[in-house]
Amino acid sequence: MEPSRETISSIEDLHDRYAGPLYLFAWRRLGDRQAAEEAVQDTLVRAWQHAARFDPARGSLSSWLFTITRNLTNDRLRRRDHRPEETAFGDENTGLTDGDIDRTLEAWQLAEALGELHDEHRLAIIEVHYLGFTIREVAERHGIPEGTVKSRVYYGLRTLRLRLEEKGMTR
Amino acid sequence: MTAPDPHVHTELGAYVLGALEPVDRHRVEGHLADCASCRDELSELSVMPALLDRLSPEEAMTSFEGVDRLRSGTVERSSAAERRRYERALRRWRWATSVAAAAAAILAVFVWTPWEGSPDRLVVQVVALAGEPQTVEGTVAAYAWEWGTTVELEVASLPAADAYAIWAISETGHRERAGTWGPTAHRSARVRGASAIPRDQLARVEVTDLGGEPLFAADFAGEGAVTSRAGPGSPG
Repeated sequence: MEPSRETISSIEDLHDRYAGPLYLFAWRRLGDRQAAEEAVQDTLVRAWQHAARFDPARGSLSSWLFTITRNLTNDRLRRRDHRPEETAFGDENTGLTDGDIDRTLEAWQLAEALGELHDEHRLAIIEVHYLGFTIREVAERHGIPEGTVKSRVYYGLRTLRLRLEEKGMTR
Repeated sequence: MTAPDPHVHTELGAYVLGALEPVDRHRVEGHLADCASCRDELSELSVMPALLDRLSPEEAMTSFEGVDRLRSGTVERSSAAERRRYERALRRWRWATSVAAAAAAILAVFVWTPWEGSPDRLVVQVVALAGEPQTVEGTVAAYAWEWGTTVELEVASLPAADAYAIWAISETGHRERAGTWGPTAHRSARVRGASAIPRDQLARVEVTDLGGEPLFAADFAGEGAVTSRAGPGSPG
């Protein structure tokens, strides 16, 4: 099958737009980062190989890609349980709602916005919010003044909020 | 009215995340009672904890690393057979992508955004082969990957031909065609091809017409080679 030129010419763009959310989606389903990375690679390659199967009249591109990832991750889960596989394109209409996709896309926007922060700002937010350290504890861990940590958290959060606003996640 | 206190402003991030010591928290709250400007700022930041909770701690800390590995083509495959299968598919993908790009070469120059990073790059100048009267100006860059090499050619003043092929040639003389493209309006081109020849065994990149007649080449051995390295995280 000859993949459509339109899809081929945008495959790089597909990667830029969807590798992140598909990765997060696969990771959440599989609970395994390496398996998730493999599933995303396989999704993008299969999307290219079977580009002619994508029909915009039947649904969005993101929905098609998420369905491929969903089916590939199901296969991996079945292999773990020693159950028979399905094809990547089978079972297209069950179990994956627009809400699931939107939530993953939004969560990825946050991951992406965090990734765009200065390393110092991101690290401060991660240590304080996700790891639960106080400002004083972070300052002691790194041997820096408390005021510096406060300032990193503040400017990091402000930048993050602005980025998320640009992405339409907050007003 | 109390003048805005910049020190309290910069404490509001730590405040909304609940990370201040009790004495600092009380001081900030005392200030907030009197300062509308800080209250406005607080209300803007107050949405952040809930937004941050859309990612688990592990996701927040490492998800971009996974995507960096995807972008740089350095994802480890769990089995050798699966890795080979994937690499074959990827080579076909890159091949078809380079042919599609060549087919779209009505424009003088492509702007190509590679999907992966540039872990190891070697750039050399192209030289016209003996007997070719035209001067060919340009560079060839070779990128090392686990599965082989991608070559990026950027040239002006292409010798006339109906179509072109780019070849990767190993030190042992093994030749692999890494891509083809058609003529462009201004005789300049930027194309990318892929070969299974490892970069450190790549001796030469040659451009021929489709009949196989050599037009120009770039040698990757010898003093003409200029090495530049870019880290895996470098922009596309």
